[in-house]
Formats: sequence, C-alpha cells, structure tokens
Amino acid sequence: MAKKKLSEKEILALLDDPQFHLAVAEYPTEHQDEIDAIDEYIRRVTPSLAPWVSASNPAETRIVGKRVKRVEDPVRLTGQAMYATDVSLPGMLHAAILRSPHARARIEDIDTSAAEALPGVRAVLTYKNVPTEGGAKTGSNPDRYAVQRDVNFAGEEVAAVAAEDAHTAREALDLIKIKWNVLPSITDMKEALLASAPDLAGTRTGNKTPASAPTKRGDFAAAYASAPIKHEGTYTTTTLQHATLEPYATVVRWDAPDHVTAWASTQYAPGIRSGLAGYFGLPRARVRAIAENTGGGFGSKTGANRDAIIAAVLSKMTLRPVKVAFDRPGNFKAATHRFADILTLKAGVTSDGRLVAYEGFNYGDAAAYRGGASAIVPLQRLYRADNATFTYQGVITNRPPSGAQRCVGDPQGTWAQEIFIDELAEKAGMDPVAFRLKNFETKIDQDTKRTWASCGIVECVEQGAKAIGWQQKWHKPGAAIRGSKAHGIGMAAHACAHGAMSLPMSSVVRIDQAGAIDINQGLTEIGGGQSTTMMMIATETVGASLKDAYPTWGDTGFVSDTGGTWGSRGTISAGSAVRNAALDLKAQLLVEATKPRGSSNKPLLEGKPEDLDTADGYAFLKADPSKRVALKDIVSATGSPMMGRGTHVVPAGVAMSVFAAGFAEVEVDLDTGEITLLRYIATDDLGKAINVLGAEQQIEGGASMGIGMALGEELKFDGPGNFPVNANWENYAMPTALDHPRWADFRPILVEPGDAIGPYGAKGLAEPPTAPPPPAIANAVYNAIGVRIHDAPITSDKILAGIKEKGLRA
Amino acid sequence: MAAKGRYSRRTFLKGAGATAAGTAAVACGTTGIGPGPVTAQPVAVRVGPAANAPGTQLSRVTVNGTLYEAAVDARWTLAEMLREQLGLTGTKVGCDRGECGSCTVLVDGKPVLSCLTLATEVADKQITTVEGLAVGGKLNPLQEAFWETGAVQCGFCTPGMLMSATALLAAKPKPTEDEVRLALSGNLCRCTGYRKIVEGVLVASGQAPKA
Repeated sequence: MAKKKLSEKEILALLDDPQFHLAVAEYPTEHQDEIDAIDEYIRRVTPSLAPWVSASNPAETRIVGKRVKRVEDPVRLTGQAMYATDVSLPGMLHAAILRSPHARARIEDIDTSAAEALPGVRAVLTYKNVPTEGGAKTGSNPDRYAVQRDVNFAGEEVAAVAAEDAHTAREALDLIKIKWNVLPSITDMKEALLASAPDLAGTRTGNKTPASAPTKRGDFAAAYASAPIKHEGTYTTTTLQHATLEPYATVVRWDAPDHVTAWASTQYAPGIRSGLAGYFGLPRARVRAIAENTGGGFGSKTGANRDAIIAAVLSKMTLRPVKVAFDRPGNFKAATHRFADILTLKAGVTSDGRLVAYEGFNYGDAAAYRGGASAIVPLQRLYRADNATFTYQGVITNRPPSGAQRCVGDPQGTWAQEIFIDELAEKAGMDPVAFRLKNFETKIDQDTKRTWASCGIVECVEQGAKAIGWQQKWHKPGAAIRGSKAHGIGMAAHACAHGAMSLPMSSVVRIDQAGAIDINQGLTEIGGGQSTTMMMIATETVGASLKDAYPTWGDTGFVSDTGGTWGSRGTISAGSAVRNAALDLKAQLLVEATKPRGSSNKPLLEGKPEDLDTADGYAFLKADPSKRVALKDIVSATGSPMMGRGTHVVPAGVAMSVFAAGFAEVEVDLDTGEITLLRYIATDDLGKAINVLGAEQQIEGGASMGIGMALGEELKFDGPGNFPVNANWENYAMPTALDHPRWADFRPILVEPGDAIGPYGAKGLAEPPTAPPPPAIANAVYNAIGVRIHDAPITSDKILAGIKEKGLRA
Repeated sequence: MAAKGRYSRRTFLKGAGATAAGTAAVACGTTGIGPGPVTAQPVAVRVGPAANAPGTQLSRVTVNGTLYEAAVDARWTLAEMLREQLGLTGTKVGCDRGECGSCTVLVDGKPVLSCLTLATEVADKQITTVEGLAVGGKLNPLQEAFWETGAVQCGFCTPGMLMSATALLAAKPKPTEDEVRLALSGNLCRCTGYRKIVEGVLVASGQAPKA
C-alpha cells in the first residue's frame, strides 16, 4: 500500500486534533502513515539541541530511578484534595439525568411540564430544546447530542434536569413522561451477525462496521497445510466497566457570554477545553478546564464526555454554575466500556515446536457508537510467524459505548493468544515456558520491519518463571489434586501497543532567580504520579534538586497541552519532551555561566560550556567540581528567568513496544468451583523506572484490573429491553482486598533493559500489566484440573461444568 | 518505618472537656493514630437553614471535635451533611448506596457508611472524618505510612481506607495481614490492587508485611 502524503496544513491540523492524539496513542498501528509524516515534519522544523549537552548517564542518576514519595499524595491523605465531585460554587445548581430503560428506541413524545413546575427546578433539557447545530452534534453514526431522542443502548441520556439541590433534580426526573417507540435490540455479537437480525444502524451491512484490510505476511494457507502440528480455537471476552471510584463528573460555569470554565474529572484537561470550545464555537482560549485531582480514569475520561456537555448546556441555559455527576448505576451503564471480542485462532507448528503459520480472526463489539474494538495487536507482535493473516471485523450491537479501557484491545487479544499458545505447546509436547521462549520475536515489528528500540520479553519470562518456581511447580494437568483441592500454575506473555509510540510532544522548563523550576507540561494527574515523574525528569536533567520543582496540576489556564494521560504515553512522550526542554535549559545555563559579564568582565565559571556539568543545584567544572556556582546565581546574573524548550520525536525507522509477563498459582476447589489466586508475579519491561514506587504502583494496579477481568467482572444484559442487570458494585464483581494474593505473593518485578528513546531509558508502563493475568490464571486453572476455559471471566459455574465433564466429580 | 508509627490505645482526651469526652471511644493520641486535638466548644457552631424551615430537623453533632448545631434536611444522608453543609468534602461518595466504602467515617469510633446513614441518626454522636486525622497540620502516622508505602494513587478511596484502617488499629493495634485485608474488604480501590494499602496499614502498626 502506498504511503499517504500529507500537506503541512494537514499535519498541523492533525497535531491540533485531540481525538487524533487519542487514536494514535491507543491504536498506533492503524495510523502509521500519519505518524510517520508528522514525525518527519517535526524532525525537520525542530531546532536541534547543542551537541555537547547531555543528560545524566542512567546508571549514575541522583533522582531518576529512586523510590520517591509522590508530591500528589499529602493533599489526598488529609481530605483536602479537590475533585470535580467536590467543587461547589456560589449559586451552583445540581443536575440529574434521565436514562433510557430501552436498548433501542425512539421517543415519540416527551412531556416535561410537571417536572418544570416542581419548585426548585431551573431547567429541563430534552431532544426538544437540545442544541443540534454545528459543534453541538457530539458524534455521528449514530448522530449524538447532549441528550438523545433516538436511543442506541439502555442507559443512554434522554433528559437532564438542573435544580437548586440534587434531591429536587432527582425528584423532577420522576415527573417526566415519555411516549416510547421501542425497537428490537441486540446485545450479543453472534446474534447481531445472524441473517435474521434487525438492521440496528440502518447500514444494510449485516450489522458490520466498514471492513479494514487484513494484515498479511507470507502464505498462511500453504504453511498451515504442510505443518505437522495444527491447532484451532475460539476465545471470547466480555463487556467490562472501568468503575473509576469517582464517576463522570463536571462542574461548568459560564464566566461571560464567551468564556466558560469547567472543573472536570478527566484524563485530559486540554481535551475538555477543546471539546467545549468545539461544541459552543468558542476559541480555545475562552475555555478553561481544571482537573486538580481525578478519581481514576483508565481510559474512560479522555475528553468532554456527556457529563461535561450536559453541564455546559444547562449552565448556559440557566446562567448558573451546574454540577453533573453520574450516579453509580448511570456510570456503569453510560461511561465507555471495555469492548467484548471473539477471536478465532489457527496455527501450524513444526515437529520441533516452531510456529510457522498463524491466523487470527477477530470480531469486536463496536457497540452502540461503533467504536474501534480490535484485539489483534498482540497477535501481530509477540510471536514470530512468517506466514500469517490477521483480520478484524467490528460488529454493531446495542451494548453501551465501547472505548479504551486500560490496554484497550490487548487484554482481549492476549486472553485468546496466551491460552491458544498454551494449547499449542501441549500439542507440540513442550513446556509452555520453553515453547514461548522458542517462538518470541524479539527484534522487529514483523509487519513494518522496523526494529524494536528495546525488548525485554525474554527477561520478563525468565525472571517470572524463576520467581514463581516454575521448574519445581509445573506439572501435568490435573496431577496435583489432593482431596477436594487442585493446585496449578500458569503463565502468559504480552506485547503491547501502548507505552511506546505517540505523536511529537513539546514542553517548556523554566528556572527563576530563586532557582525554582517550573515544568510546563499538561499531563493530567489521574493517580499515576505524573507530576512527580515529570519533576524527577526535569530536575535530574537540569541538575537541580527535586524540592526546587513546582508540582504541576491540570489547569489549562497554566499549562500547555502535552497530551492526555492515556496510552501509557506520559513518561515516554511528555517525559521525553520535558527532558529535552530541561536539556535545552541546562545548555543555556552553562553558556551563561561561562559568559564574561560585569565590570570585571569575568565569567561566573572559567572554561567552555562543555567543560561544565550540573548537579544538586550547581554548575561546576568537571575537572574540578569545587569550582562551582549555584544555578540560581547564574539566572540572577542574566537578570531574568530562563526557559528551555524541547520537543520529542521518535527517531526514523524505529518502533517501540512494551512487554510483560504474568505467572499465576491457583487452587481450585473441586466441590465449589471456587478459584483461590495463591500467587501472582507480574514482570514488566518498562525500560527503566523513573520512580520505582510509581512503577510498582502501576504494575500492581494494572495486574489487579486483569485479575478482575479473569475472575468475575462482566457487565450482563438481560430481559426484553436488553438492560444491564448488574450495573452496580454489589453485583459487578470488582476485586476486593480479599481477592488478591497476600503481599509477599503478589509481586511486581521491574525488568529494566533500558531503551534508546525514552527519558533515561524509560518506556510506558500503565497498561501492559493488565493483559497477562486473565490467560495466566486460565492456564493455571487448566494445570490444576485439566479444564480449558475459553470464555472470560473464569467463574465457578464454568469450572464446575468442566469438572463434571472431566469426571472429577459426579 | 520508625517507631513513631507504633500504634497506641492510649487516648489523649482525658480531661479535654465535656464536649470531647465522647470521642474517647476512638483510640487516638498524640503519638497514635486518630483524630486531631479536640477543642471544647463553649458554643456550638450553627449551620444550615433556619432551624424551623420545613423539612429540617435540628441536630447537635460533634465532627472532628467541633460541636455543630445543624438544621439538617430530613432527607439528607450523613455524607451529604458532611460534604454539603459542613464543607468537609474529604469524605467521598463513590456509589451513594453502600457498596464502595469511600464514604466511611467513624461514628463513636465505629466505621460507618455515611451514605447509608441519615444525618438525623447521628444526633449527639461523635463523628471523625478524614479531615480529623492530621494533627496540627501534620500527617498522622497512618497517613505517613500510606504516603511512604505508596498506598495512594488517585486518592478517591483513600479517605475511606484511612477511616476503616483507623477503626481496625483502634480495635487491634497489631493486626495480622489477613485481618487488615478483611477490615479493608468493604473499601473498593481500582488503582492499587490493595497491596500497598495493606502494607501501609501494617507499617503504621509498626510491622512489616511478611516477605
């Protein structure tokens, strides 16, 4: 396929489009041509750094690579941290949202007169008065607005009330009368694909989204036909909710007819700004978005979602500040979701255990808003297969909107691939660890032929196998049953689309006469300690102390846009930009230190800039570190604060990927079907940890989300209206403290092979740990009882059915 | 963690005045973990709409040592009273239906879900919220241990975790790891996998998790 050519104007437009940034971070392989064009352009226009200035050697850092308490935390420990749900403004109204009880329907008529008459109600928003022109259309296919008339999933917003208090707003919802025309709906992909299925979107495509071309290498059919060992299997995952502890929430205040401020629970404050600016046709400079603290995101809060839009519209209608906070069932129903996938895999293996032919067919639940739902990236990357075909097909259903959830489609693809690989290893008569090590592709992206900047998958597997005691513990399936308890171990490996590639980013690092360092970067802090990480990178690079840096908080009034906190891109992408800006600042400081100045016409330090280095707030002569001057004195000597600028671009021809592995040890109760996760070891190739504490946090949290996906999380739909029946934490099995192994048995292991591109060798980290747990646990269950579970989650009913089929119990 | 993290059952409230006496049910102290120093309030702080407004009920309640005389909306939960009326937004509402534990506060020393408790139910009781933990503007040993061990990520579940842990440590100064896990099992967290939270509670109790 010929490469797409982009004009400078097109490139600049893409760089300015927040949705494109999100698409690139989450689905980089689908946008390679655009990324290449943009990278090439930015490399061309960016001034290069002074060749003599360099950052600390990663092996000799003073700040980076240490365990640092996070600056974000004290305010969260005292209860003083302000989240969007905590914001209260003078005159603020509270909103309540009416949601559709039907998965597919049209409102014939809506009567809000009784609601409007309720004392305390200030505005009611329905399809009759919702803005629909220009930017007020928040999406198309299907057309979407702040509230809907045509409903495509159960729980979709159809009306909103703003009232003096939350109780009155909720009361008013009960007074709204709707005449519904209920239409047939489907929440099961397989049903949607039947010839008899209703045409859900009027596309006459059999409920399929537009097809994309399969990825092909070599000749799968021929290689498969001649392979002595063949295997085939189908694997499914289901719809999951992010279940952030803080729901979708935004407070909006119109400050003037052309100026609006939003306090948002978001992963991307600049995305709220551009979203509202686009909606109301305002310049971005007339919208301010503030996100001091966000109670979790995990991919569900990537821009101006409906909470922000509804708050903004109601606020404009009433000229009062308005708070919208989804209630918990509403958040379960209408926030974005991890999409369900069906993967059918087929492979041929040589008699000595080499994968030679690999085929994957993936149906992904594009759901009500027809989002991307592909799960094939891990299939393309992790194992070498010279003859391969991978195909993705999206399916339209009436499930709630599909979106990015931590690692997006990769956990779905890895669920399928890693159970499949375990089965292949068994067919080949090999140990699952040995089979994987034999077949990993560690050098290149096989489809683009670009070289990985680093790859630590072998270390991940070797260190994990050692930590769990693979050699001692792994046994034949079902060979460790004692009484009613069966013991097993299993593993999974993962290659991730995230934590690596994203668009060029730039940042500014300033230092003032007091030596205070101000990092202008706009990563919104959602719990990962992004502010601490950026402070560590900046101060290490400038040669200052950590205490000299200001923390940065998400407020578009003060920070520039360095992209969203998603795609595991913060450290690698924004962090590289911060490093480069800090290097630029360091170079300027050293030049200024050696300039003759004052009446004596003497420099602060004798020598050339390249003879100097910086550390702990001083510039000094490398040859004689006792000859030194404080950085703040250099700044003072110049008479004004100094500023470094930096841009990060991935070098040409290089590809990045992050790798991870997981090892699980389980006990299965043959009478109850209950699984106890005794031990879980997560090994992650993060290149290099900036903050060891933060790195461990990401691995533990990511693994925890994977454990939830493995052992019970599943949003279920039932009844004639295809309603989500467990849209709450009581019935949606999110793991508690009791569902994880004990402290010593739940271990993160940092694999640090370094990386040629990221700051101090770091790569991204937040997402990769999420993918290995589900298949690792499924494989451990197989090792325990000899029962294969192909459909996530692994629940007791499926285990018991397998046990019965196996004859382990009557 | 240094010995300052050691938990103490001793209370410092002895003789702190009639208003504060009831808080002795919460184990706390200048070297321990619990609410900050309590000042006897000669006059209650009056909050809320006029006491005789329709649908309101007058309630005297002590929160973090301050006695309030609050005219509360009869429909309000304790969480709403704390957040909306007293401005104590440290208590978080994750679900408003008793599932997540984010709104946990101590009522007479016992952990209670403030979203399932009516404001009118706590009349004449002693409430401790997360805002009552730091002593003299300094983190208390449990908060310090949470900071040190990295028990906080997004922080939304943190206040509830701290309150459940405070109640546990008051009842059992040296809990086992399993006791900590059980005590925190009503508090959901989506960021941490609970590992560093469990570690934080153990460190605060002067113990290290078993390697």
